[in-house]
Amino acid sequence: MIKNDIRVVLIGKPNSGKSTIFNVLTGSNQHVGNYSGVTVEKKEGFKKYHGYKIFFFDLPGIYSFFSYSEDEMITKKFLLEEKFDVILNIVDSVDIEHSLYLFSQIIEINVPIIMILNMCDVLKNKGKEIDGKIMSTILGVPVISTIANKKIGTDNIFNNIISSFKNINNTNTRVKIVFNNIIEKEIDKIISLIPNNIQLTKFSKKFISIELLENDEFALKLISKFYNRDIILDQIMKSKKFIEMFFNKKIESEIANTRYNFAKSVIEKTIKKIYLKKTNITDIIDSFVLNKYFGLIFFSFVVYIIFKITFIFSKPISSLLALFFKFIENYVSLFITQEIIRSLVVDGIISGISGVLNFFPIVLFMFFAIGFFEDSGYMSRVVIVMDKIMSKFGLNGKSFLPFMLSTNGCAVPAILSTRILDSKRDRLITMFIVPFMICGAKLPIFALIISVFFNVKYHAFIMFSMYVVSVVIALIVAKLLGKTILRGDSTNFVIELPEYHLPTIKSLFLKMWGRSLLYLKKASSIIIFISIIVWFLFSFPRIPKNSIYNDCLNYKMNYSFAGRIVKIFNPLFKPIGMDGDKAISLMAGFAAKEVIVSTLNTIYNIQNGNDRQSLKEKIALDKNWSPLKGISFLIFCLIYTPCITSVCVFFKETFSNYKLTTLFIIGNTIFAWISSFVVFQIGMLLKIGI
Amino acid sequence: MNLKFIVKLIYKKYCYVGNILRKNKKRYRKIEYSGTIKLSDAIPGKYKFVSMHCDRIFVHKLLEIGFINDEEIFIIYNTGLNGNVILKIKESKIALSNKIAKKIIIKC
Repeated sequence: MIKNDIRVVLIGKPNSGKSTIFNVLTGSNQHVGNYSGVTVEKKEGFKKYHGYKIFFFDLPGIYSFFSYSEDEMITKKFLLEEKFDVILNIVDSVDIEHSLYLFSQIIEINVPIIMILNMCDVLKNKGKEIDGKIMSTILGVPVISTIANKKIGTDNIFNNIISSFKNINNTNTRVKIVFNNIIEKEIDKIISLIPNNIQLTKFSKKFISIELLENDEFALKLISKFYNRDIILDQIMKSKKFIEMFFNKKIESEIANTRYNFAKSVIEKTIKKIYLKKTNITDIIDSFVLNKYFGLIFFSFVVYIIFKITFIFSKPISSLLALFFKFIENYVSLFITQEIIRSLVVDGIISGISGVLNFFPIVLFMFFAIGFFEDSGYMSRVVIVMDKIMSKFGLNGKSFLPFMLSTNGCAVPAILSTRILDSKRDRLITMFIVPFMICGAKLPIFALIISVFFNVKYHAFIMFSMYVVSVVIALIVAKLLGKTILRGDSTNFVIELPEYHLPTIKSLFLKMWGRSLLYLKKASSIIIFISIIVWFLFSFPRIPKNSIYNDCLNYKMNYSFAGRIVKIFNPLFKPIGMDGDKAISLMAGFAAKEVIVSTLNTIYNIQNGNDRQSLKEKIALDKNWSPLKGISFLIFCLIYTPCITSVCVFFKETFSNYKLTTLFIIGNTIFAWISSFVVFQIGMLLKIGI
Repeated sequence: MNLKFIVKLIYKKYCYVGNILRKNKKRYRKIEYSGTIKLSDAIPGKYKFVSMHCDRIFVHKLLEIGFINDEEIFIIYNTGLNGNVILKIKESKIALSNKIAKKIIIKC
């Protein structure tokens, strides 16, 4: 039986262009694992070529097999547990030494390897050139040079994959790395002890014994299943002591030395210098961006650009969408004659969905703008610039990217992107804080209430101050958490600064789409469900037709389920300045924040009948609202428990930590209550904005 | 609250600031005496790596990035205390926080 499925894995250093090549090879046939972005999850795609179906797996970048942060462990787990047929090692031509270090470890896997030298044009700008043929003869592996941005050289890859899939025995022609004599003897001793096992057919025994000597977790786990594990562990201890005594150095530095010497010797033979290098754009831009004082100014300018792009481009689209939904509403209400079903469809479902989709363009363009700066390489510089401020609150500079994804975007991809952080403590704190930002779902509430109560002149200023307030609250909570529950030092970070390059539109598009797809999914599942429930709570039980109170809309409201819930919660919410009906919308907001505006809409529809006024005008005329109450409402919305999807993702990412999730839900609500209480009472005392 | 009191306060602050600046100068002189210097104290320039003492996992991670004996390091920026150090090692730019940089020792 001829096997026609080929499974190909993309491994390489971070920032070497794996995802670009993945996009070029698979085209649109992709299934993003969970969320795209900085690759923190494996991505799958396939392509049919000459009768073969080739599956591609894109993994997070690693420097070596010793995994340090969460995303590196994903790669390692995949390599150990899953089956694959061919490895594509993607090498950054500029920084070959690090990539050859990784290559010297990948060699030990008994799977055909193809090396791809990416970013050849950047190397030419530096005045050097690599000879692919000499490298291929030295390493014993096919070598292809490509420029992934411009799709040059990527066509050869398919033929090479198929030919190496057919000749699986070509692992014999590969280069072998030889360590010092003494280390080799010790390695042989350990090899003789490892029994033959089915699990180890992928990796050679030499590789596993080297990992054992370096104290790697995964290798130790593998060994713990063997019958002679105690003998093996003893031998490891003896060998380590002997080597450290002999060389007067730790064994890891000796092994790393050998590997880097191998890399240097390969480079000497393959790299040629052509001409003097031109000036490097990266260095020039970095001298501006990383300056102590100018860096922050430049960064605030970039933030201003991002916000401008989102709001300018999304305005026409959202107004189009609003018109579209109104048209559908009128059309549907013409057709459906039965009152109950019409009210269900119009007040329940359509108002719920329109609440989500009206603000979808903002989320889309925000992710586009952030993706642009991420792909170009500027985000690593942002990490460095913001590190000083973040370290005062006990956090890393790396925690800043989730913050950016969460403002005007969605909290869920932000929580997932915290996988780039190294220490568990940092991750937990950042995950806790991220939902405090004004995400795309909270934006309609803010836009609505600010536009009702404040003069047009002050709109932008007040919105900006709300963003600032959210950041300040998040950082204060971070400091509190860091000193009480999650104690410890914030870890050191090591970041690589890649060269600046213009990102391809295709990869930007795929990134943006992958991140905002979640926002759309919410509309189709949770929100329809919740809008129906809310509508149900408000419309039933109905007053009997022949009752005296039929015309009294207030009584109708109080008679329904929702009205009874309102009466229960009224005393709780009065001190904050909210009546029960706002309380209901906030409770519905636990499921999804977009529902808050639509529940307010249904409340007013049921209370005042279906007038042609917009929600803005209804709120402006309502005596129960005032600017002060509006602001305390906004502050409560900002801080209280995040939507159900974020809570579920948080629970999953913290490895089912019940304590933290309950603190997440309940603690946030209590904190929100306290802060809006403070604001409201101070306002009442000073008699501002009543 | 005399005028004298206020003037004395200002003068004390001025001396405090001056002392700090002078301390920085002393650090830069250290390298001439002993030959080795902490990474967090170094001025931009060309150096060679000597050793580092942090916890074992982090040592391993830095090893793999390229901190081997006698490896050439170019320091591009150093933003002082509580800041970062940006260096070039083996053709790649890396940024380290000063907490680690205090534990790495280099020489000219």
